[in-house]
Amino acid sequence: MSLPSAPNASASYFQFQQSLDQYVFFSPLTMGGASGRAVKIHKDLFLPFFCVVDPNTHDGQSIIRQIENLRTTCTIVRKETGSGYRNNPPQGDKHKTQLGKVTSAFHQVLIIKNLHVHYRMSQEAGDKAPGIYISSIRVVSEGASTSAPGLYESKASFGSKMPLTEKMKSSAVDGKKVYINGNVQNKDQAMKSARYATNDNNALLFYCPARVSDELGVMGSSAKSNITNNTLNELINVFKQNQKASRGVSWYVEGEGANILAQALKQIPGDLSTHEFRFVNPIANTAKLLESLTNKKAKLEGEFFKYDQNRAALISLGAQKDELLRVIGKLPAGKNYDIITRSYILKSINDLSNTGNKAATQEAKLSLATKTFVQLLKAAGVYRK
Amino acid sequence: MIFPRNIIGPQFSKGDIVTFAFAGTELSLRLPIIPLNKHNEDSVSSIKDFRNQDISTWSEDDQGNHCEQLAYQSWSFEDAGSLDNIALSKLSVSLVHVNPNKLLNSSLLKFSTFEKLVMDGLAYSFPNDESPEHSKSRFFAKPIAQENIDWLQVMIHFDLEKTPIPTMFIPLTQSFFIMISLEIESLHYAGRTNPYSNEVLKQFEFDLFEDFLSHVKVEYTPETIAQINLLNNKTPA
Repeated sequence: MSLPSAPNASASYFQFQQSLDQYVFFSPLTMGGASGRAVKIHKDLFLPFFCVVDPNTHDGQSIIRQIENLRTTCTIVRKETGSGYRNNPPQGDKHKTQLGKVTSAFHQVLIIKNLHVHYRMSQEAGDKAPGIYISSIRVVSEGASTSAPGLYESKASFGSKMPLTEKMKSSAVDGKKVYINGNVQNKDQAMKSARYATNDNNALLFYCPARVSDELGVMGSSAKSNITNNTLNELINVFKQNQKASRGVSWYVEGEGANILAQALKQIPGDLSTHEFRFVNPIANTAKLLESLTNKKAKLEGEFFKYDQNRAALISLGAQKDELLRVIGKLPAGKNYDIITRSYILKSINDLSNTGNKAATQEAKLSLATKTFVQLLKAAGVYRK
Repeated sequence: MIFPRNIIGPQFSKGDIVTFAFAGTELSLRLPIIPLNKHNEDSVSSIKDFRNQDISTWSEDDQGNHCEQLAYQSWSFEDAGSLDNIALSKLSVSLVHVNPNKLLNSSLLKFSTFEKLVMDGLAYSFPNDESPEHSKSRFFAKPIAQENIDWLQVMIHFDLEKTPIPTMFIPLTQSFFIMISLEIESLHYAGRTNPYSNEVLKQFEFDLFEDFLSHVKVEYTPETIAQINLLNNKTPA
């Protein structure tokens, strides 16, 4: 796993009771007593939370304050979470009541921006009053739904420095640079990062909607919705049509986009010997991905690995450093300049993962009763950069 | 401006006043103060004085006009009830220096020249089978009456997957004009429906655009005004 997955501590009441010592106070305001109910959170959620919530942003603060507000919970607040299917078909009333009974017996969900916070209210040994126990979190990003997944190109237009992002009619990418985006809200942002990452204003974009990168991501669900399948098929199609590209194809893959590449590679027969790959802040099982690319004889040359201050990528690196170094070590030996860049990449992965691990060791400090979850989140914030 | 229903977000009337200087003209905008967030963008041109700028290094559009982005801001509007991000907003103000070959000794300060140039430019960038005469109705072009020289409002179909968005063209000097566009895009979380329909958001986009324009001030010097009157055959008041 690239990221520590959120524990399913809410699976049963028995498991919950077994893990009581793993819960820590959420913030100084939620330690119970004069300020309201106590709000506690499972300490294994530290790293997922660190990756999703940045206390320096407006959204991050909204999330933290809303969770703190759980201390005023008197009645159970529930929101419609939907059935999770593509068209979100309405559930029958009878089904809803039954489902409601089942879930309320276990846990509640607070939905705040892109975060689902699963919690239960319970009075356990040592609690003076029933408190809130947060047992897991899930990420559901927001995204514009108008743009279809697939290949896009830039097109200059009248009176604008910023070109338009337009869907390509063909899928011929021979001799081009193609960028696969991470988690972004719409295709214009994706195209902007594409130009930045490739340093080429004519780079092509393979647009992967936010919903898809969520679903294939480490905190996603195992079921694939139609849009994810469509995106995968589009990408597989691009690979198949350009498999024997004579001028080669340079792929730039950022963040969560690495997951969709990994999925697509499983369904592509034959080798990709003329395709070159570069990764920017990959948030995925990078070691495994590099291995499967090597198996397909894909080119990983020069500075194929880049990191620029992305906290989730940092954690992900920290967690899989040894594996990653082993895989890179097995790559065919490079020539000339490659030897220098290879050692540079190895060194930077080493250094970065050390920093990533420092953030991770903050998690261990959570067992100390003196510090709360949010305080440590802020302390770990220095490792974001 | 009062936002519809439960929408919350930055107000233009409380934004920062930013001023840009041109030869004979001064432009001021009120740019909204947007919160720091992961997906937001907030950039304003570092050049504020365009009187003696070397424009040859600027990037060009598809017709050889030099362009500079005066401001580009992108932020999300929230729903006050759920705090969900419900719409993504993109505000773009770009400055265009018209290729002298296209002007042929005429001036943008003559409205008919300005209008023709903009319509021709749009027809070139967004080609259609129709003849150029029809392009005016295709883009819903309409002049907006102003004290000195009129502005030109058009609806541009930048993205065929979406609906046309309102764009305003404002002549500043002989060869400079600005293009202001605002777009609102509906945001969705998987499994949750957006409480605001596309119609509501489209109307909101238009109202916001009007609101932003109401804070745009273009001040011409008396000399420029005299020139405008002369070019447009207007008798001075």
